[in-house]
Amino acid sequence: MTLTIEHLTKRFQDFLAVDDLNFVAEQGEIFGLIGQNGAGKTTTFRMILNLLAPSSGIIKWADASVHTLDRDMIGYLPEERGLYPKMPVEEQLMFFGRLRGCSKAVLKAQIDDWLERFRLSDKRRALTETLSKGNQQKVQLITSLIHKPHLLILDEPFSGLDPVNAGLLKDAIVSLKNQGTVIIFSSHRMDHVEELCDHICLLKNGKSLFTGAIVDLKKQYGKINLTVRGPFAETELLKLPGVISVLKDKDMYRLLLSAEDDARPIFQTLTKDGFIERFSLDYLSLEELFKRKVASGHA
Amino acid sequence: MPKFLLLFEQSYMSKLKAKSFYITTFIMLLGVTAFFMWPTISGWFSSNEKPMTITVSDQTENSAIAYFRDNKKITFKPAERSVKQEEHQVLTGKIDALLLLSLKSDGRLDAELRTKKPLELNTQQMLEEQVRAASQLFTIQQLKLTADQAQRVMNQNVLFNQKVIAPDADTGKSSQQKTTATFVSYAVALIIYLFVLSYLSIISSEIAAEKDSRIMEIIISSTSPIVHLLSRVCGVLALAMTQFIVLIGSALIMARSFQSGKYWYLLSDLFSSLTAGYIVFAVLFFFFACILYTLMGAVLGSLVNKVQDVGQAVMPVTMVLMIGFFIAISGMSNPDTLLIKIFSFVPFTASMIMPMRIGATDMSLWQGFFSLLILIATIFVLFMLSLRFYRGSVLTYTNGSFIKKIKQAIQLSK
Repeated sequence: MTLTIEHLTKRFQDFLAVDDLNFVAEQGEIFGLIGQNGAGKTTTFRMILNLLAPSSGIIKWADASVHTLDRDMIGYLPEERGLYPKMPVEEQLMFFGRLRGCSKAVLKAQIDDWLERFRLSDKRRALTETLSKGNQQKVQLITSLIHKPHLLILDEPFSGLDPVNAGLLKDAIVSLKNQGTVIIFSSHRMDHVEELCDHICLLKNGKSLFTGAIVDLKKQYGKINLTVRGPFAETELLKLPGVISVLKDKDMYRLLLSAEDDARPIFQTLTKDGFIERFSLDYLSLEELFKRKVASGHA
Repeated sequence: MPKFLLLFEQSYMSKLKAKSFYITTFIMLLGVTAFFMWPTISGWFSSNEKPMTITVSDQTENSAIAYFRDNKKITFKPAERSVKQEEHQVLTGKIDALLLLSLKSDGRLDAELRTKKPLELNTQQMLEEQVRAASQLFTIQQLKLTADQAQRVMNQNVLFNQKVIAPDADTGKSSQQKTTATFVSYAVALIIYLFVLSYLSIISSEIAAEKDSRIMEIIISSTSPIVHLLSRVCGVLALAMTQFIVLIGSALIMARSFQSGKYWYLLSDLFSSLTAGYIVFAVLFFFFACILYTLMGAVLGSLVNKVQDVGQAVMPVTMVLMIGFFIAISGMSNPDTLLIKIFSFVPFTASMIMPMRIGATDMSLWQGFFSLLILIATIFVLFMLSLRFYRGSVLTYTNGSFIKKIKQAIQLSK
């Protein structure tokens, strides 16, 4: 099962919200849709969910229109929390599970399992409004995946979660991925995107700046992120050929190079007097790439 | 289970289990109980109330004071002192009032009441009635009529019969039927007004809350927006009918049990003087008014961005309801005015006014059918419009006028 987006465009009168978007999300893959606020992520999600009709373009699920996909096979976690505040947790999960076509008997076992997994067993009878923001977010996530969807759309799933709960959520997402679910995922937290996604689509003003594997995006710029630790002065490092900028980070220096090839002569210069504690060359992080891409705005 | 039933059950049960439902039902039941227990309740308060004492200074030399009758509220006693001294008694609060009776030159009784402070309207009216009755008796006595003649003057009932002489005309309703229908129609208008007002805000708030919290997006990604809309409208209507049945059921039980069933016989009399056609029309207008306003509430709720905006959004509808209700009240004294006739065809007010016209006037029944048809057609048109833009309206979060939002919603629904 594959989700294919071909030349997807959405226009609201004079405003182009999504402009000729193309990507493919394979079965068992987590696909990241990233971009600033207003980049067109939610509009794209709404078109995939059939809440909005595209102005042009095609959305396919396994070579047929996505509308042929049984709605009960879709899971959706909206950016804002969509839960009934006065409803107890268990009742809430039962309602949303039944809404996706599951029977009460099947859901009962699923609810026990997911509450246990997310450490919410003691909250099963609590009103949702009494839960912490993080716990509400976990309940929200369970509602979106309790029916074992084939296609799962997660809009900002990590907002409001502490690192421990974020870890639990990541495990759940990876577990679904391993079961073959196609997961489309959006987040402002690039570290999460980098950790979970294989492929991404980077959006700006509705247009794709990059679509493909994260590693390919990184290779476009090469390994230009150099970290060194040793008896160096900042001014001395800045004078080295190929160094664009130097940033002191505690006891280390982070150097941005103009090209990967500049690293070798720098290594020779810095080690001419012998041992240094650290010389580490790496790609730019996804967050740095995101900022660069969005700032330049070129595909 | 079909998704409509699941959503309907969730909507109905969540509100049925809510504290607010119990509280409003309890308050309404309290009102119904107070109505049926009113004679007992008023007895508690009036039992200790001292009747007003009025000293009568009779200067007619014909013992006009004899024609004044004591009742629960007023006691009359002859003056024992001079007018000046009795006035002093009034001013010091020893007696409540001084009534001066004298004869006018034409032989009529002249009465003047002197009090320390103005009287309550109720007492004033009662006293005026007493003086009028006493004056009649006094005049009869002055005319030196026989006892039989006096009796005939006092108990003269006018026998008034109306007959329509046009050969193909309806015989029309009796005055009693019209009065009863006016009273019942007022009750119907009041019930519609109260029910629609509270349930309009319930459905608007429910849909606005679902939109605000984005639950709506999850639901309509799982089923069609129209299934959602219908489930919410039906859920709220079912809740309204539940509350209605509870109130009517309790009222009937109370009518049977309280005051030795006095109210039960009163109600039986009331309903026996109503025609079956009137009852069917009143029920149909009530039912369709609930549908119309619930649907309007749902559509308005889908257009606002936040729950707190609901009050402002439903304000125009509330105003229309109020206009309808006040016009219905104006019909209590005369249900044949042009205003009543016009608004009995306006679908938003017809439900409160047309039943009154059907029951309290001799208009032809086709007007009732026509008005009902307009109401049903309006519901149909509103429903078709909702089909066009409901999907878009629940996804519209922009600020601006309702017209702008509706335009955008239609755009999004395409």
